[in-house]
Amino acid sequence: MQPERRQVGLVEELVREHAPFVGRALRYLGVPEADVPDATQEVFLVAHRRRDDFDGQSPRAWLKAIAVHVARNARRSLRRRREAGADALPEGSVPPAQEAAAERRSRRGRALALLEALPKAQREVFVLHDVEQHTMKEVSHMLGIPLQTGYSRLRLARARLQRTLTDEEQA
Amino acid sequence: MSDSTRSRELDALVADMRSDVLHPAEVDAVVAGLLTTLTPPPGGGGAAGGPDTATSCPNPSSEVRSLAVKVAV
Repeated sequence: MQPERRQVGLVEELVREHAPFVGRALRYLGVPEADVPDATQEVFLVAHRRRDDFDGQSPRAWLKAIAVHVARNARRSLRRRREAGADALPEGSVPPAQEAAAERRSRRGRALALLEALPKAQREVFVLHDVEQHTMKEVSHMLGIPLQTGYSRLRLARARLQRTLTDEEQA
Repeated sequence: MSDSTRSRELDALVADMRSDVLHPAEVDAVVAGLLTTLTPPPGGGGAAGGPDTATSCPNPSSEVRSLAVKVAV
C-alpha cells in the first residue's frame, strides 16, 4: 500500500472512531437533525485547520470542544432562518425507516424537547457531562468556565429535567 | 411520583441519549466528504477552495498525514 493511501486510511479510521460520538453531541447540543452530518464534518475540518492547537492529550475532549462551537453556530444559523421566516426542516425530511428507527426517533424527540427547555448554558454542561460522560474538569475546560460553575449548572439542569418529568407525569 | 422514580426516568433518558450515536451510513457520508476535501484530486494540485480555506494547502496529502499524526491516540 502506498504511504499516502495508508495515511488517508488512518484519517478515515480516526474519523470513524470519533464521528459517531461527535454527531451525538451535536444532536443533543441542539443542531437540527438534518444538519448533524454536515456539522460533524465541519468539526473534523476545524480540527484539521487547528491541529497545531491540539495538545495531544485527549482527541475526544478536543473534538467535543470544537463541537460546542459548531453547535452554537448552527443554533445561531437556525435562529436566523426562523427569524427570516423559513421553517425548520420538517421531520419528514428524514428518510422513512423501520419500526425500531421510528421508536428511536420518538425517544430522541422526547429527549430533545426536554433539553430544549433548558437554558443553553445548562444544556451544554448536562450534555457534555451526563450524556458524553466527560469529567467536569474537561467540561469546564471545554466551555471556559470555573469548575464550580459547571457543577452548579449541572445541578440546575438535572433539577429542571426532573421537574419537567414530574410535570409530564401529572399532566 | 417518588424522587427515586424520577431519578430512574432521568437515568433512562440519559441512557437513551448515550446510545443514540451517529448512524453508520451517516458516518460513511462524513468520511467521504472529509476525504474528498482533504485529498488531492488525480493529477496533483489542491482541492478547490479559496486562499483562506483549509484545502488551499499546496500539498494536501501532507495535511492529511499531519492530521492523522496529531489526532492519533
